[in-house]
Amino acid sequence: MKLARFLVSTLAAIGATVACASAGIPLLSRVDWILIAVAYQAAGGAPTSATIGGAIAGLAEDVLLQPLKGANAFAKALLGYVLAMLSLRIVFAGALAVAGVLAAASLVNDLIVAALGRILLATPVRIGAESFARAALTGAAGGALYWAWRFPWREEWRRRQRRKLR
Amino acid sequence: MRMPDSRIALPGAASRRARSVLAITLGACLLLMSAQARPGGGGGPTVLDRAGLAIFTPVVEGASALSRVGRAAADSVASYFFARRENGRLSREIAQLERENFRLQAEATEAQRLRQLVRGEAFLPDVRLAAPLLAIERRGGYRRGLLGAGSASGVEPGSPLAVPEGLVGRVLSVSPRLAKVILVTDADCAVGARVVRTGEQGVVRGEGSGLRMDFVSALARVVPGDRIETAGIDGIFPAGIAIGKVHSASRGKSLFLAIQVDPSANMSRISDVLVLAPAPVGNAGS
Repeated sequence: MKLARFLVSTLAAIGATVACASAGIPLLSRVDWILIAVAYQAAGGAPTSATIGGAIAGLAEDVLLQPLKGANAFAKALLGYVLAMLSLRIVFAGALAVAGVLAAASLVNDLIVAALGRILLATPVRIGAESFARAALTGAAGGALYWAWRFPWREEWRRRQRRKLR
Repeated sequence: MRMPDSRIALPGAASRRARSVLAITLGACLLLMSAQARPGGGGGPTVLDRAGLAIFTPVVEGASALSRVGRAAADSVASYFFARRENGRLSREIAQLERENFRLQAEATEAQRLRQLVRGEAFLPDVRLAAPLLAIERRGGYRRGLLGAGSASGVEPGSPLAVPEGLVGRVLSVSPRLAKVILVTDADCAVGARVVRTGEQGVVRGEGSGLRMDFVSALARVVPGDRIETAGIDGIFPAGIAIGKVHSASRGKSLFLAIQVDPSANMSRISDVLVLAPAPVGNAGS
């Protein structure tokens, strides 16, 4: 079950990254879908699988798009562990709380990748508006997905049916 | 957000195991990164690059195809509603292009006459194919992307990428059907360039969102609006491709001007690019 959760969420995140960029939707193409997948895996509350899942998902991102293979794997493994430990201790009730945590995680991810690039490849660190925009959009997308996931669609549909019958 | 009653911390053994897995995973990542940071270790494409591109090719191609179908459907619905307005716009555009074509033909004739006078060779970029840019990563100073064509279509590492407006980047590594590319705005990208009006040469570097031009003498007269193009001095990019326009030029701290350049190509809205043939060895300095 955990493996299925990992595979589906990681492949969906990679697919979403490519689909949003190919469709030329600027706002959605800035969302860190892979971080959302890692957070989804971590929400299961198993730090070990969240760490490994985060590392593999991050490595996939590195291989496809990053110059330093392992930077995102490092960041996302760490974030997977932290988010899983957090989800054991705190219940993030509500889309706003999820959005806030994801935005903060996205910023931390960017900081870690930039710091590793600076240390190992001497790449200039550029954390600016782009990173904050990505954090905000990742938070918003994650919050919206959480809301859609938790929304009682079936009850709502039944309620509407009952209203029609009356 | 609230503290749960039902949820409890992990038992000691599970917690220790989770910490061990974290330490081993982070250690493995650090080892992988250190291997690339060695001199000569991070330059070219690696086995990991090629394997990763090959593994994810079906996912990437499937997602790209799906999104393009969706976009085409949305476009056709939109064009049905806006056909009349679109028709008018296209008529105006055709008229403008005809005028432009007339002017360019005159200029081409003039250029040919001048070339005959100086016995110079004409430069025309060798366009191999047009390919979609499937994804762009914008993290920190990095601007990397995935190209939806690979070695099977004739894409080679080092192939320059451009759009009609100007230079976009170059190919880093290829698999049969995908290629990893670096955009000209990436902090690790450098291009040999020259100011078209004065002929001053320098190096254009990426800054994430924009570009800057280094190593242009402080005595050079560079003004905002000057066009910058590839100089063909780096052995990677052929000469004569537009890079951008000077946004500002001021005296830097050293002997060189601090020149900010606006890219000609709109980097935030690139969907398809032209893949050019790599610069031939020996083109450097031509």
